[in-house]
Amino acid sequence: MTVASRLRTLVAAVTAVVAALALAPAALADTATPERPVASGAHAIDNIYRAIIGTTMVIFILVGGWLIYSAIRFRARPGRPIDPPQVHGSSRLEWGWTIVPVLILIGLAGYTFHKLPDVKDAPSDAMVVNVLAQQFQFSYRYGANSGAALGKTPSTATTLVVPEDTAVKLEVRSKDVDHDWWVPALGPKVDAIPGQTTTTWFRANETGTYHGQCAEFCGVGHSTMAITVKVVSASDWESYAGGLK
Amino acid sequence: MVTEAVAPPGAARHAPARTGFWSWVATVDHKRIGALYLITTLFFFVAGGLMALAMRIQLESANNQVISADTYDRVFTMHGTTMVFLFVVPVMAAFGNYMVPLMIGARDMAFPRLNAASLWLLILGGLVMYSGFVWGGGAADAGWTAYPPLSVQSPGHGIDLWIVGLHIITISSVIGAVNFICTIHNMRAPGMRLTRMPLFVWTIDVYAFMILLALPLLSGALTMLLLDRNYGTSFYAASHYGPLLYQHLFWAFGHPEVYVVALPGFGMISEIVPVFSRKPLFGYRALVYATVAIAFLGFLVWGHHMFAVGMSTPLQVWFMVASMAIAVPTGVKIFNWIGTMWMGQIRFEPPMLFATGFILVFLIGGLSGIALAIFPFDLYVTDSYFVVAHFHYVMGSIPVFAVLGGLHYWYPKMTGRMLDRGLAIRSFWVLFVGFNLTFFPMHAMGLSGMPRRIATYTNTDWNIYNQIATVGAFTLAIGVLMVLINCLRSLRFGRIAPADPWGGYTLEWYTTSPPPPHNFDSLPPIRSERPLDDLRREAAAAARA
Repeated sequence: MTVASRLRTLVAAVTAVVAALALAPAALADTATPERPVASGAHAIDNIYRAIIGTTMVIFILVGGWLIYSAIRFRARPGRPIDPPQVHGSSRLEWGWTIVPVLILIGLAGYTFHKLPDVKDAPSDAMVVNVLAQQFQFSYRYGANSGAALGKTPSTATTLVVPEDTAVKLEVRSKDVDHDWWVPALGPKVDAIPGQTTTTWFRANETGTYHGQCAEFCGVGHSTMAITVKVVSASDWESYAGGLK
Repeated sequence: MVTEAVAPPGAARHAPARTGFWSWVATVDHKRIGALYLITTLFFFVAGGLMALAMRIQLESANNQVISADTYDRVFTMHGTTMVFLFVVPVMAAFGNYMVPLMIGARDMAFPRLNAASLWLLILGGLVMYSGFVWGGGAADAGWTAYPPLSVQSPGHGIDLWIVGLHIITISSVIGAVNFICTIHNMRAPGMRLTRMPLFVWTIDVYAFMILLALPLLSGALTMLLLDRNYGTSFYAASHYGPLLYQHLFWAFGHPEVYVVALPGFGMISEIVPVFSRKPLFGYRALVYATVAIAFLGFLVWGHHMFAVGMSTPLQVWFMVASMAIAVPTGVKIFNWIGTMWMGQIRFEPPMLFATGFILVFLIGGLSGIALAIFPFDLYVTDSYFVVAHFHYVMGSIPVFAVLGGLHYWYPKMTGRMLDRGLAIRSFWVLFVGFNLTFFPMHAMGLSGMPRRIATYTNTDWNIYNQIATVGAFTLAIGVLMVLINCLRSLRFGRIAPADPWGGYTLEWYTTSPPPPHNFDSLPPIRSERPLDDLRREAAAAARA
């Protein structure tokens, strides 16, 4: 390899790495992340996602870089030996690239378990909302720990109103076919399956109106099956709940 | 020079085989059956691709009304079913049929007439399934997963025809699998030990065993669905967890199915990379173990498709850990391919370009697979476009890069003609750009909340991603068209292919292109997984002495 071509390879490699590093934060800003999280579970998911994307991007740059480097560096050219070394493998290397991925995966799994309670475990004093899915809408009825709203339905049938900074546990049922309740800003989704009650929970930490839609194919109106959740302040909630009929 | 072709003893052209329409219809020659398989599956690939274009036109921007929701549902159902059952799984049988007997030095498949039966059953099954478009009040419309109760309630007979069609295709696949297993385990040439078998043959063997184990689950699940729909049974009744039962049965079949598709694709890459790097496979045994490990683990991870059904945390943890474990043998494959290229003398002929493109694209799909295995994150992205992005980066990269790579690699052997090299290289780049433009933005769609299987959407934030994907889909279509044109044109105008245009290592390059009906006049001694390389080295040593 001549000095000039060695230099060219080096310049190309450095340029590629710099470009990747420069573009990464910009790309990560919005398009490459989940919707801005406004609930505890959503924050946990966002954190887990960032751990995953960070790890996998490093792996992609290293392995993809190794592939592209090999492709360029070892392409057939005049003046190179016709018969390359006939290497049949290397146990040491192969054990290495078996064990290192195992360690990386253990790390990712460990971090996930650390963040898990925020996604999975609804507090026992959570306000319960019964969600009923049917083609093609979700309807709601307030349950335990919902104070004055107990047993009542929201004033606008398809808009779930909940207080800020309060754990809300959804108990989801379906009247007809499978559906799925998902509001991205609030985090995880949960299937509605006939004959079963499934649960999820969230603790919204910001007032506002958040949108989602049914995420399990449920028939011809699937794409119209919208979800609206309105998170209000504690005082607004008191007056809202008191005013429900 | 070790790339020189080893002249096969029977290089003199044989008398041409019988030609004419009936000689093809009635054929039991594995090569003709393989060719007919290939034509059939490519036909369905184009049909599935056209349906994909219809979806990409409809989803190009918010609130489009190009096709109705009802039509959209049938189109995405048939797109998925076509691509999985009528293209990617049987296209492996196409190459398997053509290549396995040649690669193991056999005269034909173990059961030639059974082989013909699996071809014609595949065509029949496809026609029955598609007949839903004409009869039965529209084709199936419950997704390729056909979850009850929706699939039980769907009116008309589209889903019934879909089930019967799938049953016929399943019979085709199962008898094909039996045939592959019998052929590979009984008909190898003297010296062709299991540890000297080409990797592609290994992967077809594992593919066949997986089909035998996985497809009966689908048949059982679909039979119960058919009975529930038409004869008043209640296998999937909500009162006793029927909807969940179906999902378990479907995915216990469905996830192994992913590896049914992937493994022979890996096998093709494992053939191409060493030949064009002029090196033996780096870690042949590790690649075999990795193949078997992926197949085994593939049966233990189905629950990761169902993280949102209200599964208990310990079960979620199990399915997460098992799914992540698959990344390890898959990583071994990728590393060993790059290890094969390392220090090689890589010739970027079209097959090698496709293989390199495959490794890069599949790496992305593998990494997003790790993300989806991590179930708290999966609860966010499951059933969103992120999943669509992921499975096209795995299930879609196999046909577009591995299978088309295999097609470019073996086309001279099958037809006796070379493909146009320039057109092949251009089509690779068009496909590579088109593929990534189509499927990469789908990660962003999913992350920003776009569910899959929606016929339209109102959120204009998703426009830009969808527009890029639509442009990508048309680019991809142009790439596929270029490949097809190249294949058709080269049949007549291609340069005559020698027996061994690439300096191949395996036995199929030891006979004429195309091979005579009986395949081989004689076979070389087989002392390693690269008998032709051994021959060349012996010839070179003899010439020096």
